[in-house]
Amino acid sequence: MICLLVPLLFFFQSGALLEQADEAFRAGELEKAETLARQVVARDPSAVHGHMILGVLAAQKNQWEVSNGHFLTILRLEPTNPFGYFYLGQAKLYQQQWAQAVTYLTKAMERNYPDRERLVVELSMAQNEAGNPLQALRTLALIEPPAGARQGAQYFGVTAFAQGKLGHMPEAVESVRRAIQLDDANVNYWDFLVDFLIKTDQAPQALAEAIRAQRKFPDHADTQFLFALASHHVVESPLSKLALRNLREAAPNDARVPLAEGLLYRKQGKTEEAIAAFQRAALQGAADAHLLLGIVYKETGDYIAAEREYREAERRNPASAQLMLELGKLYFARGELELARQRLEKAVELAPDAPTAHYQLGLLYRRLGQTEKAQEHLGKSKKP
Amino acid sequence: MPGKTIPVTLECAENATGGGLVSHAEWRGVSLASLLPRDTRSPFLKLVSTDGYSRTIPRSKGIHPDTIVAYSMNGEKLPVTHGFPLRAIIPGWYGMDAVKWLRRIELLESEEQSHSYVRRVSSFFGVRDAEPVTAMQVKSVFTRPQDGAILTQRRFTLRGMAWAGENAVAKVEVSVDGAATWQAAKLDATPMEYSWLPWSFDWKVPNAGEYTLSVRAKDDKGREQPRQRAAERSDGYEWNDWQTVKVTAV
Repeated sequence: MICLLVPLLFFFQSGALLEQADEAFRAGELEKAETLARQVVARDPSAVHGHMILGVLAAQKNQWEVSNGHFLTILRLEPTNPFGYFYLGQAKLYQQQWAQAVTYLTKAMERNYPDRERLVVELSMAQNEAGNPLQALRTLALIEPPAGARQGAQYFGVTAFAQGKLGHMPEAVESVRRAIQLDDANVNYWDFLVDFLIKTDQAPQALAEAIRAQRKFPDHADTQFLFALASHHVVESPLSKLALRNLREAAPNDARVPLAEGLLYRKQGKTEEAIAAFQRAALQGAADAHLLLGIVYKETGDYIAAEREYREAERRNPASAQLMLELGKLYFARGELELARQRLEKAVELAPDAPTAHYQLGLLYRRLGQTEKAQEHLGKSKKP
Repeated sequence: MPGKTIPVTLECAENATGGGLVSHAEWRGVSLASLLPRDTRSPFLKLVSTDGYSRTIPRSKGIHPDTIVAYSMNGEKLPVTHGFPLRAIIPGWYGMDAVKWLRRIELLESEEQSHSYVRRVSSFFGVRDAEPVTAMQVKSVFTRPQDGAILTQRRFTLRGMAWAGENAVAKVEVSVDGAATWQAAKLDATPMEYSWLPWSFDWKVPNAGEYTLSVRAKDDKGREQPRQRAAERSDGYEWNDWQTVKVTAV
């Protein structure tokens, strides 16, 4: 939430009305604050603090055009004022306009915005979301982890997200665990942790964390789906049915409901029902439905249908490490070694810490007679 | 000997309020009575395990048609951890009487007082006589949400289980306002003696905030879960006071 942090500019803008508006804002009397601030701005359109209050209030109500207008007015009136840049950057962050958020938050930093810790965390978040995880980590390195629990958690959370984007999975898991230690009420950290553990072949650990997460967030659809997914990956887990019920209750119309149904059927060995459920999920646009269809078709020996589904999944999401692994395995099984090599190398590139991808690539290199490379990847496939 | 299958919920007598030391299974075995000499009139039966543990139960419970010596659990051979090859199932009584790895049954003329007999009794700081812990108390618990849960939507189905030992659950009630008011929960199975049953309650969460949720049950013999455990009790058994969890709606 955007809050007015303020070393206010009363020194420059005296006036009882403005003072009353500010007092009302701080007391949480937002309607009164808005009315008074409007009066201030009507009398003096150059009243920077009046625009500040109106901008923040509009942002809190997601009235982005209004808030942007006030913040831009502040920048026009006082181009050296770091608060205007910070609030505008924050507003852009909430609007998911990452590049603009980076621009304005960087300008706030150049103008010495006083709450440096907060600024650094928000800027790094914007940089990471804008596709520059390395830059985000460099920005975070400008400060020590903040002492406050929530801000400290955000620091480690953004660190984890950036490390994850860079494929540094063990480090990302460690960082997100630290974020959860500081703030276990943020569902994004939990979902990220479970997702990462699944992606790095740590299914039992993923399930253990998913069990904790689904208890903490019993009606959060993402959490419940990850619970279903983690349970699916652990053969002995009897929790898939529970996860499906939770997901149905949390989001009955979610496209992932038929996906979770398919996972349950597959676990129960009901192949036809699994295929039908995954097809329903695919029709509803569920991510990974085609991947799962491909996996089930391959299990039934229908390699043509499996390839068709994998290729469709690849068209939709060419950056899926698991898809590349499955497609690589399919080509490998069919003896199409060059196609297998392309996909398995891509799988390792996308998930450098996933032992299974290294194992399959190692086997392929051995088949290709590239002994040294084979040993390298087979060595990496061994879990510590 | 004819076999008998019976669904039975077993709860540890030390299971805390809201604790997880409770489970349910379908047990198959032969009636314990069929293993006793026909003319026995001994008032107590001592069930002895291979590990030395033993429990003494009154003959009346021992020869009850539903009391069995089980050799199968949920349609499969009894697992070692559940007492293979044989286990006593004393329906409606706390799990401590369901002696695992059953080795022999002794006929006693009086309740044994030897050191090998673990006599679990409730104790009331002298205000009442100590009594053996036998039949399970009426109890209900939440399975979701758990304490500390964060709810993100404005509808949520509260769920849980309830059981009443030798009796059947008659009613489950929930409170979403710190036990100020109570509403009946839906019983999601037919109430039966010996068996737990699931219950649910569709809760419309009015708005964001902190909520204190409680659950309590009543059985068909009029027993009710107490709000609090009797203050004078000094033993560690029969924890069946209301379960309360706190949740946050955001």
